[in-house]
Amino acid sequence: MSMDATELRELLHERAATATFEPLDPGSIISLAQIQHRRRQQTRAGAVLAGLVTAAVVTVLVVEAPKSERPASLIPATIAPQLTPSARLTPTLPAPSFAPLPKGWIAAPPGPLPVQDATGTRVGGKIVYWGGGDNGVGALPSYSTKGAVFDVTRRRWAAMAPSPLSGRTTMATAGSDGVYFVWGGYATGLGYFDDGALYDVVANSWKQVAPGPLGAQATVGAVWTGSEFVVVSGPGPHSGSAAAYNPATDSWRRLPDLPTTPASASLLLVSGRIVVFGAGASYVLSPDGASWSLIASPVNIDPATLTFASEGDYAYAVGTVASRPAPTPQPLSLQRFSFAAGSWDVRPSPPLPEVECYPTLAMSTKEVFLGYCGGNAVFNRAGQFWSSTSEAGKGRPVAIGSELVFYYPGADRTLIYTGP
Amino acid sequence: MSVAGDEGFRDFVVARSPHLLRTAYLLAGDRSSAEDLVQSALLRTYLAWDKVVNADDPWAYSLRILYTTSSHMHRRRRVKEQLGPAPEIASPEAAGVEERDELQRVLLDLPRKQRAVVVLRFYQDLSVEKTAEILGCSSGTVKSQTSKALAKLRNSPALQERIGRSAAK
Repeated sequence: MSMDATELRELLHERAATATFEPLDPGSIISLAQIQHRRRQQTRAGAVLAGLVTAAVVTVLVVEAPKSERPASLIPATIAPQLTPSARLTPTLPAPSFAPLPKGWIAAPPGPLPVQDATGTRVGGKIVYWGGGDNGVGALPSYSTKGAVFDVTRRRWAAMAPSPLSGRTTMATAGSDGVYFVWGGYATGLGYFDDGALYDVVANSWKQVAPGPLGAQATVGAVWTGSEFVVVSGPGPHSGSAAAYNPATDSWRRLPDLPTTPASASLLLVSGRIVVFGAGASYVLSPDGASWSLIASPVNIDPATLTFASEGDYAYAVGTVASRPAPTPQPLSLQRFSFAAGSWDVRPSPPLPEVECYPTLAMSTKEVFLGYCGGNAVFNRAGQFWSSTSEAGKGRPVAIGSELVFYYPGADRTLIYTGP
Repeated sequence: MSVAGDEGFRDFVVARSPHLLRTAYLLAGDRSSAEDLVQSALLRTYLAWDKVVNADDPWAYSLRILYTTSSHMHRRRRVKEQLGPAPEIASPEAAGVEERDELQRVLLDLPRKQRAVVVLRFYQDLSVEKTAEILGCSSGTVKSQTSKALAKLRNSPALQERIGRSAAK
């Protein structure tokens, strides 16, 4: 007895008819897609903070100093009295047992956060994870107002004091030596926010910041310049508008608008200069903050997958090559920028399979980490070569000095990649 | 995306998501996995909507995204899928329940590409060339995978019995 095509068709149609499906709600899919897109942009913004290596060293020295010599708060004294009374840091959780890890990986205690989408931001020698929403599908996501701080030096977690901000995701965040800055963000049902706060990692206390001039809309990101937190707006009624918040005076000043807001834009520091890289157009802010100048952009990368990270004098970009016709999976292209070169140069391609995916990029002082649909590889910056690593999985990397910290929300796992 | 683009996507979801869900149901084996798969695929479809609407065959493009999304989800849940999801049990009153479940079991036993070939060619009624385009492989690969899949399906005793009964009617 054999089976012909007609019989197989009948069986398949019968099987498919055993389940009745109603049309999905396009509105919820669009909302989720927009949230995911912003999350990816936010992940890139988190990696920007890898550029503050010098600041990290200073903070480690402060934190490691005898208690009597430590400042009560790293927020300037002019606004410190306004801070919410601090709560004691909660005891850290005992370290769980992990499977043996390969050389170059260290297991740390799991994080205490219930949230699944908290964004990691480097603040001196610590990483602050705050906010985020769950991955609810088909219903309004719920957002967390909780947060936790991972002390990279001591490999310990501590919970954060309650935040004065409502829960949100895709907010602009940045860290100074000891202060976490959060501005804007989005929550389904509430829209974009135009408020923000400072969190002092030493005093474990929050303070809301003065109202800003940017309005409630998407943000490209935020960076700490050494004296101000600079925020650039993303798509919205005032796309490309920029402002700087001074924590010492709790005041804002407007910066010139970007000439255009490029797709897949990232706000970064390169050689201490404020840069917005994007697809097709990239800009650097003049040292006096008076104007933006056009600089080179990566070439031949699909804007939808373009991802940036920076550290020190270099920025790297990765994304899928744009030249081949869709929908064939595209190979990845890695490119490097420095002001000394003034252009992007193509580096060796990552040794990862071609799939349709959004890459994740983070830079330590030694390596560039690339996450790509569960496949991971690290690029040695000095030797300019790739090697694969399997441990990172879907953890979100935050670079701090020469290390990369991977927090696995909801998976009770924290790993640190120290390199080979 | 523009407002017009959003409207086009909304129309697409309303009109085609049930069909995508049924296709995903055959690929994934159970209702829950099918809904997860289509939800993920439509998220990616929305993000690539400009490419979808400008493609020569937007429906084939959306099937392509469904297949690649299925591949990603397979990699992430490889261990779970190797154990094999339990097939959904239809209502006892439904005629041919056992044969349909047997078909699903045999489908799930097929390698993913062979399963996709069967679904695209014999459920979607797509040509060898269109199937090859969606799966990103050659026409020869589609033919060989079809041949191997049909051989396995023919070796299923329950399916042979079902076909035998059909032939006797």
